[in-house]
Amino acid sequence: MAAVEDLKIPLELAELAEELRRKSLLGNSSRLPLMNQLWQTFLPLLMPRFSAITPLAEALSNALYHLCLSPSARPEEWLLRLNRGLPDCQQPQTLLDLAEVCAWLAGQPERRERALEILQTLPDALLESVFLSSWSASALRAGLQASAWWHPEGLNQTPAAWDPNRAVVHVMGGFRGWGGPFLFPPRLYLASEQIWVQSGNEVWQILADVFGWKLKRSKYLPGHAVPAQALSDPDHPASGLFLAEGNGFQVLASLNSFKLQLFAPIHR
Amino acid sequence: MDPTLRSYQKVSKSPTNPHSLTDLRQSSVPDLFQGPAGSGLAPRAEHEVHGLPSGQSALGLAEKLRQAYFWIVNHAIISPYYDIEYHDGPRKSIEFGDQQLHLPSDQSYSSFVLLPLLNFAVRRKCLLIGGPGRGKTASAILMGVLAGYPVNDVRRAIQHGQPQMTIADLLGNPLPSHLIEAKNMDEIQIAWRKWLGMRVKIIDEYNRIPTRTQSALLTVMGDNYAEIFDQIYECPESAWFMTANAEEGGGTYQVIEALRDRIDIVVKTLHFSSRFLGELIPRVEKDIRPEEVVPPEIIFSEIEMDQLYQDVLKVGIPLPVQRRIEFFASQFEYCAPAGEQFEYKTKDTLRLSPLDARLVMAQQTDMDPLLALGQQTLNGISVRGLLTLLLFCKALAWFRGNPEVALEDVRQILPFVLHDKLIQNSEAAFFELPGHAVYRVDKISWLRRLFDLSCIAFDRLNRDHDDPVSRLSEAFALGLDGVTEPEVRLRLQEIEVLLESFSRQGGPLSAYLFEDAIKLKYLHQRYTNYLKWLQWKT
Repeated sequence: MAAVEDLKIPLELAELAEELRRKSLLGNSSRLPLMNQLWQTFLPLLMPRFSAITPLAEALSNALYHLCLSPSARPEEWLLRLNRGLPDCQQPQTLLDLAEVCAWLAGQPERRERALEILQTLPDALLESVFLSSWSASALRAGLQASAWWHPEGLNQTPAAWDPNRAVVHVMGGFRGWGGPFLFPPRLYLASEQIWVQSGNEVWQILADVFGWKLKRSKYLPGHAVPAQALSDPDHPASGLFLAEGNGFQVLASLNSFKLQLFAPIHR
Repeated sequence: MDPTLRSYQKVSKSPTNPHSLTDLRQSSVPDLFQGPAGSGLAPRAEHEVHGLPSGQSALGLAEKLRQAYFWIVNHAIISPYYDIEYHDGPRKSIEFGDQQLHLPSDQSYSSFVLLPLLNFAVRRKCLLIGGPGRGKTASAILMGVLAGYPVNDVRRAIQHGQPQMTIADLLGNPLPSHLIEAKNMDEIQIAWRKWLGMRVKIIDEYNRIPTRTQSALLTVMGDNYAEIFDQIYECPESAWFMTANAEEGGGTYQVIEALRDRIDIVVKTLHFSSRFLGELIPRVEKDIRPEEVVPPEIIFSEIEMDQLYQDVLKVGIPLPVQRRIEFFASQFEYCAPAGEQFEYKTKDTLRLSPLDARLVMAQQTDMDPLLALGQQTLNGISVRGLLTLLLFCKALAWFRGNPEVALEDVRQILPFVLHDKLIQNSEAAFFELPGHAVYRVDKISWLRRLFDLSCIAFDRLNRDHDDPVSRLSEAFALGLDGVTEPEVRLRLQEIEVLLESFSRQGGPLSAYLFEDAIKLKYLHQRYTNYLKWLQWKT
């Protein structure tokens, strides 16, 4: 792949490219190789389409930066979906709306609510092009709205006859020394139907849907939080496993493990 | 435009506190398009949600205030003192003999610039004290300019305290023709002074105002209206800035106590650091006055000021932090020798007696000076004081971009709020301990030390996890509907057992246990009344 230094960058983007290069986000010494890909393969596609490209380049670079730093996100998938939808974006704002929806699909569940709002305004053709499926735009909107655990690209699933027994599993967490968030094995708590994690003095809230998960840092555990129940196994009374149910999913923690397993949905 | 002048008007485009920007958004969703590359694009919804002019979002207001802060410290008031210290992880401390200099590991602030800005945001009353020429009035003028007033209007609206100042000078005059022609008081029209209608009010050298005029000022400050000849002028909500050259009311006139009590936060000026002399040279050479070159980007409209205040109010105070503030406040009112009846053993009782409070308090010789924090003050904290403390804690957390108040926010803001509210008993044994004499002079450090000692005691008592009074209060707060007679008797017994456990601890009663005992007696009485009613009903 050609170095960014070798690329012909339009004059209007030169200042921004230089800023990113200075911050080691672009070029040969980039900390985020995908940033080079965005600038080499995607941004050139915008030039013939839109007149004011600098604000778009800034916004998309920032979005990619956040996705690269988000542990559960899949920035490659974000770029892939964005590429798929680009031909149907007629306005710069449509492209930004698409970028926000794609960020949700690429593993940022905190964007679900906003993305669902945007879905209502995106052109049908654009929405259909984002997913590798045969669903119509209206079916996609209805299905994604109806369940946080329906994946349009899942095998033989329909929004109506979606199989609730098919649990989607995320594995999250990890020891901080190995790139995870936890210094100590995490403990689970439940408060107001939300699942919380405590590790040492640090606290997170778990957000999740079919596309990804997020450990949202919080200053404190809610005052009324109760510890997750220990799993009782008659053969192994001290199994050291704890299960929390809330917000439509289950999380399993082990006494000595830094990892958390997320099961969804809960069978009721 | 002159390059020097242009540099003065430059406002940083980079986020002033990127970490906290993310934190605040975590309460909703972080902005995908803001980040290290340029300014990015703001999502459309942000502007639409708040309906603010010039596309200003609520998040932008916190950022705008931070930009105002950094513009002031960088260009207007040279105050290189980061005395409001925040740490993110370990800090580095360097020792100079028995003194220490801390190098903060997180964004820290200069109180002299930050606190007036917070006062501007929450529209309270700020007193700037310090020697002449330190920038007190300049700081106050800047706040007026930030509120959108032309600098000349702000200067003209300053009320300069002087010994001949009359109520008419302060508030306005009745029109002479009306005075002659009026048949009754209602017909007298008053020419009200313009400053009364401004959202930033500045009183320079307020301790030089004669006592009678101070009383008129008190009405405006306290009740937000002015009155002359039975005519009333309702003032808008406004931020007050008062300056005084000397502390402890050492101006021409003694400041009346009620007026001092209305002051919400006290800010001390610090000296000019001579290493920054170079910053003054362009001002002299180019005749630049910072208040005249305030960048328009950091000027707030009326709507924005209202929104700013509303945003501050939304910041939460988590229960663990609330408990520590409660515990701290409970340390100061109790005074055993002040009364015979339990409820009257307070400094308030002492205050109403002709005896010297210091002499009475000196009778308590069996208290540990590091534990009996109440010994160090001659009064307790008033409700107004607590309200102000909570509000400024919220303002500081909001300024830092956090959705909730952190304990460190309380620790940092508390000394400035209680500076004039907690009166030091400089004869307390605490100040005789090695290295503590300095706290008689440095009140800010003293108050911060008081809070630290209170937190240490809180931790030692394991109050975060073991607080039976809170548990009983929470049970009571759930209401009495459906509580049965046996349950009431059980709770009454629990209260009595708890009170007896206090009495068994031996030694003098601690101030916090006094407050706990008062609360338990209250709960006991409420349950007793309820029990009587239950028995009558059946």
